[in-house]
Parts: sequence; structure tokens; C-alpha cells
Amino acid sequence: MELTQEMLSELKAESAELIEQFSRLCLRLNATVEQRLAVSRDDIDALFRTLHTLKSLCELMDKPRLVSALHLIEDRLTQVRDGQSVLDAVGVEQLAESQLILEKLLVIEFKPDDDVFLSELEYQAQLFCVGGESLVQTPAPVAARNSTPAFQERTDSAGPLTEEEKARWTKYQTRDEFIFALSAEGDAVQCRAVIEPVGDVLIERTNAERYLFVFAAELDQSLVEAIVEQPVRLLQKDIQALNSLGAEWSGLLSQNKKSDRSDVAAFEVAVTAELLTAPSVDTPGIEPIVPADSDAASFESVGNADPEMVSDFLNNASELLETLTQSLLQLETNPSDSTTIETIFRAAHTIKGTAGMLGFSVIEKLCHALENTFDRIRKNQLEATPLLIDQLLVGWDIVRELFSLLQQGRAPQLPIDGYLKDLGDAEKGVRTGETTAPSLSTKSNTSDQPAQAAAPAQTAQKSDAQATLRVDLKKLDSLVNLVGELVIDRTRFARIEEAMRTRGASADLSHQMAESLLLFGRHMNEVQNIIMKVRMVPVGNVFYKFARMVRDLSRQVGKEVDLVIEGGETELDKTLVEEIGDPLVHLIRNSIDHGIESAEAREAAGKSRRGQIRISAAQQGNMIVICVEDNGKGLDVERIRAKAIKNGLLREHDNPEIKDVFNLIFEPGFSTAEKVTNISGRGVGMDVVKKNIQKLKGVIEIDSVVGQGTKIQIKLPITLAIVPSLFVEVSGESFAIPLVNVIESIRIDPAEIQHMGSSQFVRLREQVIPLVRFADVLGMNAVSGDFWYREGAKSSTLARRRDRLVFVVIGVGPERIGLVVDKLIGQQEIVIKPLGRLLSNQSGVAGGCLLGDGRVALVLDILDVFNKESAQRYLHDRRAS
Amino acid sequence: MIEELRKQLEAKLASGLDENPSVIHQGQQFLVFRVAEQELLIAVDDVREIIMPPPIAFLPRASREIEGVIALRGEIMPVVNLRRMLGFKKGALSPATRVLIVRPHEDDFGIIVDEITEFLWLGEKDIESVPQGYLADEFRVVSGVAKSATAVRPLLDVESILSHVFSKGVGHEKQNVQSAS
Repeated sequence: MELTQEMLSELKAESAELIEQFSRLCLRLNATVEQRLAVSRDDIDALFRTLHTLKSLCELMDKPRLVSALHLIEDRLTQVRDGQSVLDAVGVEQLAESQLILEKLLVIEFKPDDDVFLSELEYQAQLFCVGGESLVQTPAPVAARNSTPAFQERTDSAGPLTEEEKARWTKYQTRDEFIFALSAEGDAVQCRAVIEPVGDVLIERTNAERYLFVFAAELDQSLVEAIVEQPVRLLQKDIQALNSLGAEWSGLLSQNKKSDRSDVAAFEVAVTAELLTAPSVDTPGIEPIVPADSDAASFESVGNADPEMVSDFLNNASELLETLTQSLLQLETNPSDSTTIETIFRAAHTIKGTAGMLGFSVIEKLCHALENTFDRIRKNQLEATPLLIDQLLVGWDIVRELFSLLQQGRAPQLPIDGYLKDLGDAEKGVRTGETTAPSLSTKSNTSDQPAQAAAPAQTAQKSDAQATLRVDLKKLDSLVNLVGELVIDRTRFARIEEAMRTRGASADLSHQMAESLLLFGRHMNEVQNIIMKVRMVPVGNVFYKFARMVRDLSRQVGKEVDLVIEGGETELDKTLVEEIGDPLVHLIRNSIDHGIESAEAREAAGKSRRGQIRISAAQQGNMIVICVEDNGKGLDVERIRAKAIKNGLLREHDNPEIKDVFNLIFEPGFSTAEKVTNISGRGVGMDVVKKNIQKLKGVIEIDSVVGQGTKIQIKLPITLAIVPSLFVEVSGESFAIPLVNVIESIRIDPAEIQHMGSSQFVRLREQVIPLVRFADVLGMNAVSGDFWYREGAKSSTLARRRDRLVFVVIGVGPERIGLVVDKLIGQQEIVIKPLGRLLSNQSGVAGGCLLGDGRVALVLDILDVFNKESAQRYLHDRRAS
Repeated sequence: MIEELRKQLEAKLASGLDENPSVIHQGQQFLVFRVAEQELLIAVDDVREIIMPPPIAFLPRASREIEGVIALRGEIMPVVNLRRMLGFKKGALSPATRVLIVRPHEDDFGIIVDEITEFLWLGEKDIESVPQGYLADEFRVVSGVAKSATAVRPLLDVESILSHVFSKGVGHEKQNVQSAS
């Protein structure tokens, strides 16, 4: 069937929605599995339906490979549904993995024929499908139908190689594993059971009395022999090697082809056969006897990494690389510019980190070397001579080449040892020895974090798992603004209605007008509320991605770490959710590398062997609080202090509070780690974290108890969230005070005010509260007459003669202040809007909101009121006036 | 108002086309407006929009040139009181008052003007730069003068308003406000 362009885009949109749904289901399943609950039948049914629909879509698009991969997943799901298989955490992860690849194939790039991703998907699907087999311990005839008959069919014959077998042979030809042949008498099934744990069976044959297995394994010959307890033969990676197996198996290479199976069936057979043996045993420390084929390891690295992550990485890293190269050139002209060095260093660190996470060891190694060099430059142990910079540029060129290899879906591998030696030489040539210059880390760093700059563009297209409809954020924003306009129009109608009433239009008509206006207003509010909520997404979308990272990373450092996620359903503005990912990654890496101790150390300290990292999110007033907490060894105050003194951040006799000591770890270049590891330890991470959080107008706080763990709290404002506020009038202007900070509003007789010099206090239920005039806080004393262009400008001779004083008690934490206002207007839910970039440094106000009549009311910045410095200022102003 | 101006402009364009077509290609289009008794010019390319003055909210601790903030289609932005900035006496809202929304570097802000008088095309030779040293302090936001038969009119430079008004630190505006009142 020929597809028209329209049909194709229709199919594409539909599959995108299905994949969204798939991802949502994965999330849910993951949650269920993590709580060790049984997966609900409904979820499985929903998943099955989703995948089934997706499969038929793929059929429409004529993508047989996708169809068969999805079919495999369906098979396993059928088993789960029939109770013949249990869906465990591994299975869910494989599902999630498949989902990511599908998304890559059909949504983000729409390249449904991309070979790399397709093979990855097939691999995952196979893993998933077979996962079920191994779980069903009891004889389950139906479940077994997938694999057994296929084997039976083949084991009966000693016929020539099937297409699948050939394909598998070819596949292994380029890989690291050795191919062995085992031919013996006895029970073939038993033998297969022995081989499976160590290798992948490529070919299996039995004849009258003997059987043959050709399999691939990473072990060397003697080890394999020890395991299977029979002599095996190491085969050349050449199909002709099969001829050396002896006459009885010579049929393998005969030209007759079996073609009595349909393609799809053949594929399934191949898949099952291969995957029964798929999880090959990782045996480190055994050197290969035969030199590995050129890009043998490569297949693995590209294959194992999540393609979405790889392409993210490539996009990010390429941009970083550009920044880096430019900065290097800058450094050449100005070798002592610490800002530039910091920029380079951070970019290098980020590339290295991500490459490491994705398992591109060569890139990681190279970046590590380059970063080392930069580190020494940064610490003034090396001078950035042109010679050295030349070498460094060469290094980054190699990195760039590696990237382009990756881009082509090939392994990022190039010989780098020669280069590393050159780099070392270049360093030695210019070594200036230890200088007494102070650490650079104290200098201010104004450079932007390049990684951050690259990130938003990237994330813009990432999926939003909760939505079934993708909407351009810009469209949504303009919708929000338009609704705001409509609200203003409504007030205009209200005025007309009033005019009608007062100027004697027919009573009936004005009544009708009033009624419809009321209705209009109510609907308006609803529309506004919904639109605001549209932008909110659960933070859990980000958290879920960490599960895998924690697993991989903890394995890498040999620690046992559990990840606990709480409050994933807390909603946060979409942009914030996207931006928060990077800082959290850094924090989690730190926790795993520095926070959590090794299992042995934990036991020795009387703790459970497994460390725990807890990520939680919760809403507190108009803030979202995200916590990353570990129960590791905690921060060593003394060591941080010592290091800070050494770095010149603290003086010997300084005695800062513990909180301030903890905050030192956010200084650029600060690290107490004695050993710089691949994961962290250079003190770059925390600096970046703090910068990113500040960019989001958030606050980050550390709390730690030695031996018990570290808790890092990030507080973010919920931008665009609706904030209930109290409106007050001061000097004829309306202001909003966020209701969370309003304790109460009180009316008193001015005689009750107690004076203490020029300060005023009031006693309120045994608590003494300082009274401050709102107008003083915002410097509105001189406001009268400053409005030249105001409609019906009210003179601010407003009610100075008051026999009652109105004040609002506001509070942050335990502190209380009474703000004296002219009038209380009322309570209203508002949307806080920024004042725009020009006024981003404006103090005293947290933003503005639009009132119904088109006016702007400013929102008081409560923290500023409690800020000691500004308090001093307005008190001073008050005395002066 | 705007309609009138547009007609005027179209008429000018048409006549300009007839007489000397090169005017259009060589020149730049300017908006002429009045602030107190002074006529000033601003490049039309700098003006994003001309609006009727919306209600203006007071902005605490702002520099004295800022009259307050307004909302334009949901976006909050500051407005500059040009009279105060250029040292003229106090003005008031009139039916002719307009706010020019300008947008240097994507940062929108408004400028309050008393009246918009005309649009005109000026060639390069009609504009002369002025030595900054001879200008009164308030007129540092002027990038040149336009010569015409009747008068010499300053050319308002949006960029320098931006740096003049908005890069000023917060804190000493208070004294300014007091001295002004």
C-alpha cells in the first residue's frame, strides 16, 4: 500500500500518542514494581492494547522489523496476563528501554528504518520476551511454546545453516567473544543448560548419537572447558571454519537452504534461540587470546547506550566542544584569564561525565587527561603556553572525531595512547613548578555554564509523559496572555453594564446584561485556571530517569545503593522540570561517590549494607521543595574547614557557623576529595549545581550529620503557579502579599502602639511585633505628585487621619513583622509574572500580577522585608524624613 | 490619530515617489513626537507599537525616570517618563498622550510622549551627529540632530535610554525622587 504524505503524518502523530501512553504505563508499572506490588491486570491490559495498536500502525507503515519486535513484547505480556509469567523490575526496565527507542524511532527523529535503533529495539524486545521464560519455573507448556518447538525443529536435523544462524555467525564475527565448537555424545539439552550461562549459542545440531554446539563466549578456551567439562574447539571467525568440525557436521555449509518458514516466524525463532542464552557472563580480568576485531568493543558501547541519551549527549557535547575550542583560543591570547580556564574546565568535566555515564570509555579517558591538564593550569602549576594549547586543541580534535564516529552509529574508538604521551611531553616541556599563587577558586566566576545554555534547546523536544497532546509552549503562553486580555475586556463590559443601569436603559436589558456578565466571568476564571494547570507536569518524570543512573553508577563504584523516590506526582512548571534534571544528576552522583560508603564500611559503622538515596518533592506554600538525601557518611566539617583555609576561603581564626561551612562546597573548584575519580571529586559539580539553581531563582541548602548522611534541599518557586494573595492598598496603589506569609490582619487603636525611639511596636497576644509602614518599606513617602500620567490620579492625602490602624502581620519562619497599610482590599488568586529583564534586579517586589482592569499590582517580596540590610535602609530613611 | 498619520505618510510617500524615488531607498523613517515644548525624533524601526496610555502602577525603589509599570498583553514592562528624564516641567495625561513601546534587544519598555506629530523620511545628510560634550546632561540620550527647514530636532536613541535608565543602581533613586518633588 502506498502511503500519502498526509497519511504518514497522521500515522506519525498517532504513534507519538501511543508511545506517550506507553511511557506513562511504564512509569506506573515501575512504581508498582518498586513497591513490590503485583502488577495490576488493568495496567497490563492497557499496555497490551497500546502496543497492539502501535503494532498495527507499524504494519500500516510497512515496517516489518518494528512489527516483529512489538510482537515479541506482546507475547510476553500475554504470558503475564495469563499468569504464566511475572513482570519484574528488570522487565519493566526493558519495557522502558524499548519505549525510549521507539520514541526515538517514531517520534523524535522519525526514522523508522534506522538500523542502529532497530537492532537495539529488537535486542530489548528479545530480552523482554525471554525474561519471562526464565521466570517461569514450573512447567508451563503454553509459555514454552515460543521456544521449544523451534529448537525441536532444528535439533532434529543436521541440515545446513539457516539464514538466522548465518546472520548470528556474522554478527559475532565482529565481536569480542570467541567462538567455540563443542561436539560430544550425550544429552544435548543438559549441555545447552551448561553453555547458556557462559555463552551465546549460535548453532545447535544433533544427529543420531552426537550433538554439536557452536557458541560464542567471552571466556578463554581453558575456562570454557572447565565449565562444560568437555573439550571445546576454538574456531576462527570465518564461516569456513565450520568445515573443520569433521565430516559428521559437514552438512552445515551445504548450499541447500531451508526456506519453509515465513520471514516473521524465522525471525522469532532466531530471536528465541539467541535470547535464551543472551545474558552472557561478564568475566573481568581474562585477557583475550585472540586479538579482538577492530571495532569489537564498540558494538557493545553503542549498542548498550540509550540512543536517546547518545544523541542528547552528542548535541550537548558538540556545543560544549565549540565553546571549549573558542575558550582555548581566548586562553592563548590571555593565558591568565581564570574565567576562561573555569569555562574550559567545566565544559571538559561535563563531556567527560556524560561520556563516562554512557560508557564511551575512550572519550572519557581522553577527556580525563585533558581535564587533568586544565586542572593544573587552573591551579597555576602549569602555564598555558602556545605549545601546550596546540596539543590541547589536537586533543579536542580527536574528541570531535570520536563524536563523528558516534554520530555514524559506530564505536567511538581511536588509538589515543600516542596522543596522551604527546600531551604529557608538552606538559613537561613547560612545567613551571609549584607557584605560590593563591587558589583560583576564590576569584569570582562570571562565565555562563555552557552546558546549561545548550540544555534548553535540547529538552524542548523531550517528551512529556503525562500529556497525550503535544502543544508548542509558545502557543500556550500566548493563550495565557490572550485569556488575560479577555479578563480585562470583561471588566470593560462590566463598566458598560453599570452605565446601562445608572443611565436608565431598560431594566430588563441591563438585568440580562448583568446576568450574562456574571456567567462570562465565571467561565473566564475556569478557563484561566485550566490553562495554568496545563503547564504543570509531575516532577516524577525526571526522577524516574535517575533510577537507572543510580543503578549503573553504584555498580561502577562497587557500592550498594537504593533509590527511593517520593512525591513524584508533585507538579511543577514544565520549564522548571526540564531545568532541574541537570543539577539533580550532579547531586546524585556526589551522593553515590562521596556520600554513601562501601558496603563493608557501612557494616563496620553499624549501618545496613545498602545505602539509600532518597529524592523527594513536595509543595510548601508557593515553593517546591526537592530533597536529595543520603544516609552516607555525611560532610566532614573539619575537613571542609581545613581545605577552605588552605584555599584562602577562610582565615585561620574565622569561626563560621556550620551551615556556612557547608556552603563552602558550592565554591568553584572546591573539593575535599583526595582522589579525583571519574565520577566526581574535582569540585566542579556543586558549583554548577548552585549556579543552575540560582538561575531558576531557587535556594539550595545543605544539612549534614557526620556518620548519618547529607540532606540537600532545593527550594524552587512555582512560577506561573496560582498564588493566593492578600491585596492591600497603600498610597492609592494596590499591592499583593502572598497569603502563605500572611499570619493575620489586625485593626487596632493607634494608642496601643508602643514606641521605642523612632521604632514602633505592638503587643499582640504576649508577642511583641515591630510595626513598619508599608509605604516606608517600599520608599513610597515621596510618592505624592510623582504620578504625572495617571488616570484620575488620586491624591495621596488618603486617610491620614485614622482612628484605626490596619496592619498585616507577615511572617517568615518564626519572625513576625506588622506592615501598616491604608486599606485591606481582599483576597484573590493571582498569577505572578516577572517584571521583565529590564527590571530583573528590582528589589522589594517579587513580580507583578494583572488586575481585572488592566492595571498591574506588584507583589511584595516578603524575604526583602525581612532582610536586615533593607530594614536598615528604610528605617534610616524614615528617621531622615 | 494613527489613521491620519498613516494617510499623511502615504501622501508623503506618494509624492516622494514621484519626485525622487531614491529617497525611499536611501532614507530612514522617523516618528516625530512632542514632549513638553520639545519635538524629538525616533527611528520608526525602534518603535514596536504605539498605544493609548494604560493605567500605570507605581514601581517602588525605581530610578526616577521610570514612571511605573504597565501591562501590555500580559507582559509587564516599565514605562519611562520622558519629561522627567529630559528635565521638563511636570506634565499630565491628555487625550493626545501616547506610549511608544520600544524594544531594544528584546527588552520592551514604554516611553510616554505628549503628542505624536508626524512621520518623516530623512536621508543621511539630514542627520548630524552632535558632540556629546555640548549637550545638557539630560540629553545624553540623544544620538544626533535632524536638520529641517523649521527647526533642529534631537534624535532619541533607544539604546542609550536603556543604558541610562536601567543600568542605574537601585538605591540612590530615593534621593532623586525627593529632590524632584
